[in-house]
Amino acid sequence: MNDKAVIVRLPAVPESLATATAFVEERALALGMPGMQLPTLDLLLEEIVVNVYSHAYKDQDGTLEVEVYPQEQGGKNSGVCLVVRDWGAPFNPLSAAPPDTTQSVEDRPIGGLGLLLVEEMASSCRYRYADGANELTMCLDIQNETTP
Amino acid sequence: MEITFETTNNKVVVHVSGRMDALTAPTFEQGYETWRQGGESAFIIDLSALEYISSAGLRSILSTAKKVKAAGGSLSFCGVQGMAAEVFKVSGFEKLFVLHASQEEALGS
Repeated sequence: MNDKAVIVRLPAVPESLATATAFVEERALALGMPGMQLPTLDLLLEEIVVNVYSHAYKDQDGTLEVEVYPQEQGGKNSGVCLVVRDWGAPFNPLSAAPPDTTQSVEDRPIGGLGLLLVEEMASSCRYRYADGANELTMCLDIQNETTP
Repeated sequence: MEITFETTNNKVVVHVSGRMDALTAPTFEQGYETWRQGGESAFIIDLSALEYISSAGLRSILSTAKKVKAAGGSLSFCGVQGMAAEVFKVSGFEKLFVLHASQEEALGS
């Protein structure tokens, strides 16, 4: 584990989303992420946390863990990485088939867009199953505010 | 998330501000029943004060759009900015709906 990593462990329920978001935002700001990028970081977190509390544990109680650590390059923080862990059945969210985003309002199925948003809006994503846990790591590069 | 609406030129303008996330987004869909009560069928959703939207927000918008279409109405957007613009682009919503630059433009069309 990165020595600058911080971890919070929460029950896998909808009420944990606000706590997890506040934790991630505070840490990301401390790591030098501009405030304008926080909504994107929040989205990465929300999509995966919602998936965990909706699907990972069926109707049983479960736990989720959120870890935040800096992505370092040349001695500087070049980005912020989030890790979301759950102890449900092995599931690789990055292997899900992407939805068709060209259908009409009438034909488009409701839902299925969360993982697409994560994969497209994160700078990088990786999944592994280790020690009985699903572990999704999502990193977002810090954008220089003067060069959008 | 806060939602207010007004009727102008027989069109309903719905202003959505704050955060449209998994916990708040269903409120948007529920609001449709209220906005339609005046009998108007053209809805303009103003997102100029929206700070955040996730796939739960998109789900609520698409679900509402299906109801509006089924009732023979129309739904368009104005003021899509910031991360919402990126979310609309990635999800294809940018092409799925009519996006106006401003409320004035939306009301004039």
